[in-house]
Amino acid sequence: MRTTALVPEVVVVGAALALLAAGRLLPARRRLWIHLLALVAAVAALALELWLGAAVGTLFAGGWGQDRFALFAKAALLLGLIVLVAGSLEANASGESGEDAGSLPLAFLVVFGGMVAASATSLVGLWVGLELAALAAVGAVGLSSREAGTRLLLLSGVAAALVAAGFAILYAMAGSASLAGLAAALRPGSLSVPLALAVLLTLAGIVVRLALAPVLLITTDAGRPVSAVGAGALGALLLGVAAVVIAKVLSGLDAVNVAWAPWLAVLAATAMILGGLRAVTTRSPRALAAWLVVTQAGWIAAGFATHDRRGSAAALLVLAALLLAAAAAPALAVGGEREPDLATLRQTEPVRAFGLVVLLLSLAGAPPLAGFVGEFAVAAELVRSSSAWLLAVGLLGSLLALVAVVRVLRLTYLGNPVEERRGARVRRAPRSWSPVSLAPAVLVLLFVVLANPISGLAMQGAEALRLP
Amino acid sequence: MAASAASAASAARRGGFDPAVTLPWAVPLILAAPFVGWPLLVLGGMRGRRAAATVGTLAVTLMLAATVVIAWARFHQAAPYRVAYQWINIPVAVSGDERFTGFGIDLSFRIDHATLAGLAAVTVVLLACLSWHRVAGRGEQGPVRYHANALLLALGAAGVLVSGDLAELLAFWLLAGVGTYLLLGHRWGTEAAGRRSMAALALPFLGDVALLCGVGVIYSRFGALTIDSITPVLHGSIGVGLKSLTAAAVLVFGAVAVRAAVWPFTSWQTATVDAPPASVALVAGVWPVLAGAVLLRALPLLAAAGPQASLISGYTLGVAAVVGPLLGLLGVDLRRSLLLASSGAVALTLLGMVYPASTTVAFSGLLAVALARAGVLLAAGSAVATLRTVDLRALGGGWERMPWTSAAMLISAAVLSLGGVAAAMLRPQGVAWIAFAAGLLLVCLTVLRAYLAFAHGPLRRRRAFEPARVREVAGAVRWAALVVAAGGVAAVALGFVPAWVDFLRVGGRAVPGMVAEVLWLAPPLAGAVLAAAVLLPRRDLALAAGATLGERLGALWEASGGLYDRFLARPGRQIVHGVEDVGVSAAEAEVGRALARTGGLAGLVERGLPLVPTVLAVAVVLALVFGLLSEGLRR
Amino acid sequence: MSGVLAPALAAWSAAPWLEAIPTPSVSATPVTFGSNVIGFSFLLSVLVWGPVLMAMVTAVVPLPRTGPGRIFLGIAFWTNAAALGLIIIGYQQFQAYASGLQFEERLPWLPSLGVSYHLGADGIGMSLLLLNGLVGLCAVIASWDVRERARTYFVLLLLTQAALNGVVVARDLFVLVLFWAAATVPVAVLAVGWTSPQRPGAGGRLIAYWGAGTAALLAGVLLLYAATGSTGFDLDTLGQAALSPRLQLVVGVLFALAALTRLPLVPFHSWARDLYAEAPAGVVVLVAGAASRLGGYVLVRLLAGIEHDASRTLAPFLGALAALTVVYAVLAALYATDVRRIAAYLALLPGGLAVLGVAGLTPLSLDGTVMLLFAGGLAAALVAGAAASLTEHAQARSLSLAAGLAGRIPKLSWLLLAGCLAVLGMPLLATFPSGLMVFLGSFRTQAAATFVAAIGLVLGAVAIGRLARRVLFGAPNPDAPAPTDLSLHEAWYLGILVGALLWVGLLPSGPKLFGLPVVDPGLVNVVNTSTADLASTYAQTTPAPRTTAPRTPAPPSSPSGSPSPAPSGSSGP
Repeated sequence: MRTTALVPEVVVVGAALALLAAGRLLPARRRLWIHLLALVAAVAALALELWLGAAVGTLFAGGWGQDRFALFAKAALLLGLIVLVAGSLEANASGESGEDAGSLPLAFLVVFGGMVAASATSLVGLWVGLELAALAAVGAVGLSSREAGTRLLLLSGVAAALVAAGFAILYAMAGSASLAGLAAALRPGSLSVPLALAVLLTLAGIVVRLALAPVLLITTDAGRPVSAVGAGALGALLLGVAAVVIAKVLSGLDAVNVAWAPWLAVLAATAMILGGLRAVTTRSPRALAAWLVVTQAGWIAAGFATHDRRGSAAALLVLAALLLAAAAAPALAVGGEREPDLATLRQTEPVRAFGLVVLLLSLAGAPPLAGFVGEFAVAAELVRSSSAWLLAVGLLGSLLALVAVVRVLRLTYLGNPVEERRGARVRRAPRSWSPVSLAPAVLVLLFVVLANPISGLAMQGAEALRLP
Repeated sequence: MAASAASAASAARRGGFDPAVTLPWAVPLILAAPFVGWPLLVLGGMRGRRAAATVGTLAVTLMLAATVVIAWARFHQAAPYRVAYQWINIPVAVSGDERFTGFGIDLSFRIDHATLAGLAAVTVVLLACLSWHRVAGRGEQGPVRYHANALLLALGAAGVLVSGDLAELLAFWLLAGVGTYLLLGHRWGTEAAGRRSMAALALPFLGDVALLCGVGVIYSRFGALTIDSITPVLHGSIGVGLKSLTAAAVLVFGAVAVRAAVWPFTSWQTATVDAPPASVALVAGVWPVLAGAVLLRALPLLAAAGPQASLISGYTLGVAAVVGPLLGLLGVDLRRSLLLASSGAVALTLLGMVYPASTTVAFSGLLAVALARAGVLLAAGSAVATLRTVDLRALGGGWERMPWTSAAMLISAAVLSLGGVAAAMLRPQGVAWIAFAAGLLLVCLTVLRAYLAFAHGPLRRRRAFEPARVREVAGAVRWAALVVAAGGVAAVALGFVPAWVDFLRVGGRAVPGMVAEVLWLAPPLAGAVLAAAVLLPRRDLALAAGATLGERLGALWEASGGLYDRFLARPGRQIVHGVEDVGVSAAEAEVGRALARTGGLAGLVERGLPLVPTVLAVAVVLALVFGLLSEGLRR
Repeated sequence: MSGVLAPALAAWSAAPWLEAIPTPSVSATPVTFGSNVIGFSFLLSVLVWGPVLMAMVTAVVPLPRTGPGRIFLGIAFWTNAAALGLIIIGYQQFQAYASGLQFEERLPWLPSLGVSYHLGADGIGMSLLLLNGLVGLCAVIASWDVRERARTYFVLLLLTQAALNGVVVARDLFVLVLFWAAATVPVAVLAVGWTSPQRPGAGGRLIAYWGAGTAALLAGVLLLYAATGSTGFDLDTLGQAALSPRLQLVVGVLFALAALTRLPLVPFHSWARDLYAEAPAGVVVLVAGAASRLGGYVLVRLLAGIEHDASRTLAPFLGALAALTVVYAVLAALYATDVRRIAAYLALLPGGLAVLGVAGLTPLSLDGTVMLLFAGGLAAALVAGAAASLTEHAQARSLSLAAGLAGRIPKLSWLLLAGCLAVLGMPLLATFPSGLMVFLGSFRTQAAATFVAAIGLVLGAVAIGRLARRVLFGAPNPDAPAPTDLSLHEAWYLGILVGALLWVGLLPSGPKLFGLPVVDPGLVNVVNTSTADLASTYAQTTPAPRTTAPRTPAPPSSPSGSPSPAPSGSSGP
């Protein structure tokens, strides 16, 4: 295949560098232009990916491969990037969170890492992509809060070490670093304790990466939340990258993966229940978004736990829905980090408040939004693969999530703003870019209408994973 | 077809017009008149008392006219006149037992001579009560409401009498119940009205639901609702056991007993005696006829059912015939004692209807009793309104001051006493003669006691009451009572006329031979003599004794109320409290708390417990637990 | 390059709108709404998505600078009026004697899951659609006085109505679950936001019970889907599934759970008790009248309609639960002292009787159940709504304060009394024929439960008598504030409910002129078109010789109303 297939990656990296330069060169009041540039770049990258990425093939002597899975994963990540930029446009244009301009290029880098991992054909590629993404995300946190950044750096170092060690053992046992070689070397039934531990080590490391997402979403530094774009959204993208890596690793270990099917299932159950329960009890909308993300990550894991094509396709569907909703939610929640602020947000920026509520509903899997379609698909596969207990747990988790979101709905639309309670008058903020912040919500709704083509792509992606 | 041809021929012979041609509109008119009059009153925006009374009277008069015309047209036809209009008719299933593949309810008319007699009696009672109320009820609130409710009762009553479909019968029965409820709950805004409305809804509805269950059992066995299609197959329907027939019969009889207000179901009428007199008289006069009509329809069922059914009905009515009037002797409320006494008379005639030999005669007697009941209650209403007391001890001097009212009461009392005689004369089987004898005696005694207390004896001066001012009531009022009483006399007398019994011809045809059975006049006579002997010389003593016993009975009733509260009300309240405030809420709260607690545990993740190591630990533990024990390794 | 574009094109070519040509209905669809206007039937989609569209409009329409902000009310009212008009037209076009789906729409949606956007109305759906239309309009009129946060209120109201219509017309279980769950959030927010702040429990309870019911329904549907080889969610295909008895039982229990939490039956009733007693009249009317009836719909459509063995197994339990509900609800009403709470308990009766009909499992009782879903919805909405309005006008809700009102506010008193009698199933009202069908149908199979339910009705009469004794007929409390009789909009919405009850109660088969149906094909006929097919499985098969002349089914245009032939009046000596 031609090297033109690399153009989207080039665009993403180029955009990251350009944004980095622009952030340094342009004065602060021109920050809006940076965002518009970022938006254009992201959209262009997606369009190019859908156009050029459709060609299947390998480059660099098989070191880099493009298949339907890569196409789906990259498209999903780029979509997440788009909603992230669009969602944060208004908040940043108004300069509410200064560091965001600096962290935009890092978002592009996260996506680039994800693209590398999606196209990787060997463990090395996977590791590089994952670490690139993780480092970019952690760096974004460091921008806004040095203390939190260092703490996360430590954690992600642990995770990197885990993954690296796991990959190393795998390579040692299989004698090949390429996923194809891995799949060929591991015969069904050739599972030994060291191999199992190695894989579980790897998966655990990746899970830590997954777990970074909620941490990033809710990390606070001395009561001040880490900036929306910088941390929260990057967390969502990073979660996407980690999910991509998990999918690829599992596909490589397909021959023996029956061993950790229960492992994934229980992990999924834990995530769904934990997320749901915390969602009910948490009091901050941003933390709520984080825990809803955990719940949906559980649904993704449940989909992969079925270890077959349809289940993985359903998981990819949830992944896409999750990226759409989670990447923009924190940005839209800017100004509504505390519950009482929600009513104010409704008064000052009704469009943004509506967008936020829609995204939260989608994350909670409320019909008829993207999250519901994805979770329903996974649920159907769970029943088909006769793991009804997991379905029950998931339903409980989603029910709890729904309860939590209804609470937010109530606070947003039925509560009185603090100012009004104090007797002051709340005026609507004159915003020129508010319609753009509605884009994520519109996409979440569009997802349902386009569920058919999207699920078709997801199915092709799952087939590309060569799962049974 | 042949019949109409024959009647046409006969008409041609007479050279007059053939009344049979009026049937197509006269029959529906029976129901149409009140059905149109009712919305006219309710929604017509009518305000005036006279206008309402006129509309109500006109509607009932139309019903009476239609009844007369139909009677004329069907005079020579013994078989009932049938016409049906589909109301519901659906194929509910495409397979299975063909009796149950379709379901239908017809608005069907089944008019035989007994029905006509019943209709005549009901309309006469209605007319009497409406005209009484028109004048004497001048001070009553809500005249429009009153007449609307009366028309509702009229509609229900007529429907019950003419319906040939069990579901239709049930519907009109319930309608009449609603009308009764609203009539007895009249005089809004008073605590008494509230109490009355309660009494008039709760207990009678028990009977209505019994009828519903009876109809349900019948349909579930025969798959049919039209009486004419059920009666022939009562015996020897495969798959219909004697048990279900008995259950159905007992249930239907229960409905009859409750709505006829025979003891022990009298309370819904005795508790509402302070409703407007016209309402009390209307309800007391109409319902026995309806109950009798339903019993008439249910007689084949009783016959087909097991012996228990007829035993239960016989004993219930026998006991009611004795206990009702006996209770009427206790207490000194004029209206109450009259109601209880007449309930005994109703029970006697119903008892007579249960025996095939005396069915027809007893039905005729029942009509007489119903008419007389209305008459005596209307007269009592006039008396109470004029003398401004219900206490027998304070009443008196009726003959001097209110001769017409006294006459009406006397005639009605006589009819009530003799209503059951004709039935009794037909040699009731078994021990029923005891019930007849005792019942006849007690009814006569009780009702004459009330009459004597009102008509004879001194009328004493009371606070703010000057006996000299007492005058006979207005003409319309007194005539209303007299007319129904006269109707009762006629019905009793007709009971002894073979032609009339042949005309009615429901079940038994025997006619009592006066000479042989004249002995059965003894109990009422004895009752009369006893009443006169006790009341005339020792009036005050006797009435005082009655009053004392009545108070004792009242005390007993209070005590039973305490029992009700102890054994029914309180447990019920405790159950509801246990479920609503303790059970469900506690369960919900427990679930909520459990969720919160677990959520709190998870909250540790955010507080002290670092998230990533936790998840990592969970992951590794799960790995060891599941991954290593999974089948992949065991292989 | 063309090869490069291929997958993207493939993906887009699968987009719904590109293949939005309706597949011809398999069932006989004699008339499709608007068939001569547009190429395919679109009535049901309009009914489902119209309110959603108008909700969006309501959400964004600017508030007029001058005058009272009644624009939201106006939008909701005209939307509902138009919807009701469309429903009535569709109801009249409905072929009352042709079984099968009508106004059918089918578009592929998620082929990978076997999900299709498949809507259609049979007799059951059409009757409930009519109920939704009537109750929806009444709910909007009842919300005439809602001033606070009116925009949000009416948006949620419209969204709820859309979801209700969607459940009723969905023929694909994915779509059904979607709308079933979609109704939860707006109703919960309505319950939370507009109930009296003293008693905040309603919203939380509602979302907990409804959510649990939704989860149960979803699980049941998915089990069914898996058991049928994961081919699709279409009701027609799932209905053919031959499940093992055990699996049937599990699925049946799940469906029953979903239905009983929504209807609701004791002991799942606490949300209804709170909501009916606390929420504003509009919400009460909508939930009691339409939303809660969907439980019965699921019971009939999914449990009795698909899981025949499970239905037979569960019938005794359902019957017992129904009897328990009837008896317990009236018992609770008997001891409650709050007028609205008494009405709330009474509003549970029709649901219990409907479940009794399902437990009866005879064609007649199932027919009666669907009729009772319609009539009982109206009755429950009437009694709960009338109680809400009455307590509002009396400015008191305790039996001791709100006493003796009949003389002072007669109209509202009569309407409340009518509601009570309707719940009790009095003649002239639609609940009588439907309740009678349930009772007559159930006596054979569920004699005990039916008898207990009948006793419960007697207790209900006692409870109603108690209510009427104090509130309507009794002596007024001198300390109570002076009441005012009902306002125009209340007269309208309560009047519409009573009118519908009277219409169906007097003419269940519709009015006929010279034996031909006019205006109204007759609700009982419309309902029977699909229940006859659905229920024939349960037809009694007692081998009995013909002892009575079986009633022959009425032909489509049988001259009903004409005197029946033969012996009538012509049997003389």
